[in-house]
Amino acid sequence: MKNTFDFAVETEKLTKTFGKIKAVDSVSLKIRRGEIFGLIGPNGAGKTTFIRLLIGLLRPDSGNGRILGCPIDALTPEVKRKIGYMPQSKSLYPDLTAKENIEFFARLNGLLDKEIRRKYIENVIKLVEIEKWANMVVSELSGGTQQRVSLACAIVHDPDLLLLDEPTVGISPNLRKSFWNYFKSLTERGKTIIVTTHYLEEAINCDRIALMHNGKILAMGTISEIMSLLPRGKSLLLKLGRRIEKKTIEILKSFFDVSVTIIGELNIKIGYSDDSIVGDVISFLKKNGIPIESVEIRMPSLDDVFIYLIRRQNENIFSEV
Amino acid sequence: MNFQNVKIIVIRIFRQLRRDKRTLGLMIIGPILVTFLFSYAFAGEVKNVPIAIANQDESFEDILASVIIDEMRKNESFNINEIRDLNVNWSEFGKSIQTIIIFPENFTRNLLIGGNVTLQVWINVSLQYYATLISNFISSAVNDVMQDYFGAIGISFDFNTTIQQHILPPVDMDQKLNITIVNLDSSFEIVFGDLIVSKLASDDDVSVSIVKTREDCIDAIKKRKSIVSLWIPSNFTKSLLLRNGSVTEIFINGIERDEVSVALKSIQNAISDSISEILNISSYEITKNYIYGSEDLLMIDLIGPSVMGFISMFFAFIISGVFFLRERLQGTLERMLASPLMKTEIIFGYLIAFLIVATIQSTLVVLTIIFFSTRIISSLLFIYILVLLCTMGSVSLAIFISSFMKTELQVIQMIPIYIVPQIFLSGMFISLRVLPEVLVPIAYVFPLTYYVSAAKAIAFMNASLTDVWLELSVLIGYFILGLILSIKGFRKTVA
Repeated sequence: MKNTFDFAVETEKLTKTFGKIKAVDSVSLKIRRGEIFGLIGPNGAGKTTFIRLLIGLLRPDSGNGRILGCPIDALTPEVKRKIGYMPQSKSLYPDLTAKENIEFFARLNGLLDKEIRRKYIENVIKLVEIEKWANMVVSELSGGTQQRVSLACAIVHDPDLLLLDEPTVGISPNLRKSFWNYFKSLTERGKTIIVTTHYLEEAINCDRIALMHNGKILAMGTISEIMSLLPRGKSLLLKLGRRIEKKTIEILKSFFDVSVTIIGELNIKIGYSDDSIVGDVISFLKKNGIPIESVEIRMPSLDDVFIYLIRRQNENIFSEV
Repeated sequence: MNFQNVKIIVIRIFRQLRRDKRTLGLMIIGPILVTFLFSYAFAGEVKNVPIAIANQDESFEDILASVIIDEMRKNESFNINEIRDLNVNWSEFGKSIQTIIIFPENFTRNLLIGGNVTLQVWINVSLQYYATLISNFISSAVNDVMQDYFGAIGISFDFNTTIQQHILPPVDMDQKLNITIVNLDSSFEIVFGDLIVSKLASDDDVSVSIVKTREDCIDAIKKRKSIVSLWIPSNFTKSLLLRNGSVTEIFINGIERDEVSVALKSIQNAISDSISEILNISSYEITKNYIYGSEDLLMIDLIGPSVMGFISMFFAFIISGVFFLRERLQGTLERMLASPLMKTEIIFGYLIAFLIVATIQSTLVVLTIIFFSTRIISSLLFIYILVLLCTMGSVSLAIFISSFMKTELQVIQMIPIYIVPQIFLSGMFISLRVLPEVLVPIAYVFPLTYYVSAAKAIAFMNASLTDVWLELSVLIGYFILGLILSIKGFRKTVA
C-alpha cells in the first residue's frame, strides 16, 4: 500500500465555494512525501478551507484529490489514523489537563494499548517540551503552551502526514523557532508536513511553498524559484552627489535591463535581475558626472514577490475583462 | 460503529464532568431539590373533571296506605272496604260500619321524609270488647308494616271511640266487623338519582358522561375516560328513604389527585344537596373504590415517576447541548471529525454518557421518593427503561439544536421555549384532559407528554411495556429523528 502513491497529497482543480465566494478556486498541486510544504497567504486566502477539504471535513464542489493515496471524499479510518491534524483554533478541552487532552486524541487515533500509548504520550510531551505543564488543566496554561499541547495532540500517534493550520500564529518568536525545529525533526523521520502560515518570513523553513490568494495558487516552488519570478527584484539604492536629469535616466534604462525609481532629491532605486550589471551601472553614472556618495544592495523579500504576483493576477483579470 | 471509540468519548465526558464541580453538584442536588419542590409546590385549579355516572335508580313506588290495607285484609275477621275519596256513608256509621280509618294525602311521603303522621280512626261499636279488638287490629297491622319498612319508626293514632250500651241482643262472637278505609295516599315520586345527575350536569367543575351499569363505571376509569365515576343502583332512593345506609359506589382514578378531589367534592355536594332538600339527612357516606392509586397516595408518589423523566430530559438536554456547543466552539469537534471517529460514534458517546448520568439522577430521585414511600419500587424497571428512552431523545435533539447555537446563553434560552412548557403541558401536574383546548396540540409535540403518560400507566395502572407501545414508539421516534437531524447538523459544524 505504501508504495502505491508517489505523492502524499495530490489535488486536481479542487474547488469549494461558500455562497458567492470561491474559497478554494481550482487548486491543483502535488506534495512529495517527506517534504515540508508551506501554504502561504494572508487571512482569507483559502488555506484553511483547502486543508479542511484534504481531511474530509468539507466536500469539494468540484475537482478531486488524493491524500496518502486515498480519495479525499472517501477517507477510511485507516488512512485518517496516518494523518495528524492541528486546526487553527486551539481545539483543546480547557477543563482537561494537557496530558488528558493528548491521551484522548491518542486513543481516538487508535493507540488503544495502554503501555504503547503511555510511551507515545511521553515521547510527544518531551518533543514539544511541556513536561512541566503536563498535569495542569489546559485553561490555566499560557497561549503558547496551549499551542504546544495542540501540536502534541496532532502528532501523538506518530502520523505519516501532518496538516498544520497556522500552527505558529500568536506565539513568541522563540517558540515559533522551536516549532519549526520540531517540524524539521519530524521530516527527518520521513514525515510529510503541510503547514499554512500568513507569516511570509516563515516560508524560508519550507522545502517548497505555494503562495495562495483569493482561493488561487499564485505560485508554487522552492523559495529561490519563487523569488526569481519577480523581474528586477533586486535593487541598488544610490545616494547621489547631485540631481540626476530625466534624460540620463532614460539612457540608463535603454542601456541596461533595469527599473529606476527616484526617491526624493538625491536618492534613486535601480531594480535589476542580473548581478553582473551592477558595476557597469555605477561606472555609467560616474562617467556622466554624477557623483555617488553611497551604494546599498537590497535583496527582494517574499512580500515583494507576493505583491507583484497579486498585481499581475489583478492585471490579468482586468486584461481578460 | 466501533464501541471502543464510543467508550473513549464517554470516559472523556465523565472526566470533564468530574472537573466541573458546579455542574456536577447541580446534577446531583438538582434532582433531589426538584423532586421536593414539585411534590409540595404544585396544586392547580381544576375544571371540567370528567366523571361518569350510571344512574339506575328507581322511584319508591309503594303506597304505604295500600300496603297497610293489604296487610289488614289478611285477617278474615274483618270486612275491609276501601274507598278512594271522602264520600263515606256516615249514616251507616255505628250500624253496618263499625270503623272508619282515613289515610290522608301524603301519608307515604310524610312517613318517608320523617314527618309526624297521625292516623285518624273512628270506632262505633256496642261493646268495649269490640273497640279493643278493632284498635288492636289496626295498630298491629300498621305497626307490622312500619316495622317492615322503617324498623323502629312508629305512628300515632287518633282514636275516636263510641260504645253503644246494648245488652241485647247478645254478643255474636262470629260477627264480622266492617271497616271502611278512606285511602287518599299516593306514592312518593321523587327519584334521588335523577336529582343528583341533574345537579352534577349543571356543575362547571365536572363534565358528566352517562353510562349504563356499574361495570361501565369501572370501565370508564380503566379506559381513562373519566377520573371519577358514580354508580347509583336501582334501590338508591328506596334505601335512602328507608334509612338503609349507603348503596352508591364511587370509582376513582387516584393518580389524578387534584381532579379527584374536585370531582369528589362536586359529587358529595350534589348528593347531600339532593337529599337535604327533601329528607332530614345531612350527610351521606359513599363507598369509594380506587381503581388506580389510593387515597393515601402521597404527592411525591404521584409526581415521582414524572419527575424522574423530567429531570433526565432537562439535564440531558441542557448539559449535552452546552457540552456539544463547546465542542464546536472550541474546535475539538473539528478535531474529532478529522480523526478516524465516525459521526455516529460521537453521538453515541454522548448518548451513553448521558444515559449513565440519567440513570444516576433517576436513582437519586427514586431514593428521595423512597424516603417517603416505597410504592414506586415495584414498577422501577420499566420506568428506568422509559427514562432512558426519554434521555436518548433529549440528547440527540440537544446535539441537533446546538448546531444552530452560537453561545451557551442561546442554549439556556431554550429552557423557557422547550423545558418550561413541558412542565405544564406534559400532564405531569395538570392532566391533558383539563388543559384548554388550544394547548392540547402543543402538549402532544413534546416528548415528555408521552413519557408521563406511559410512566403513570406503568407506575399506577399495572401496565406493561406492551400496554404503552404507542408512547414507546413516539419516544423512539423522537430519538431517531434527533439522531438523523444531529448527523445532518454536523455538516454545519465546519462550514
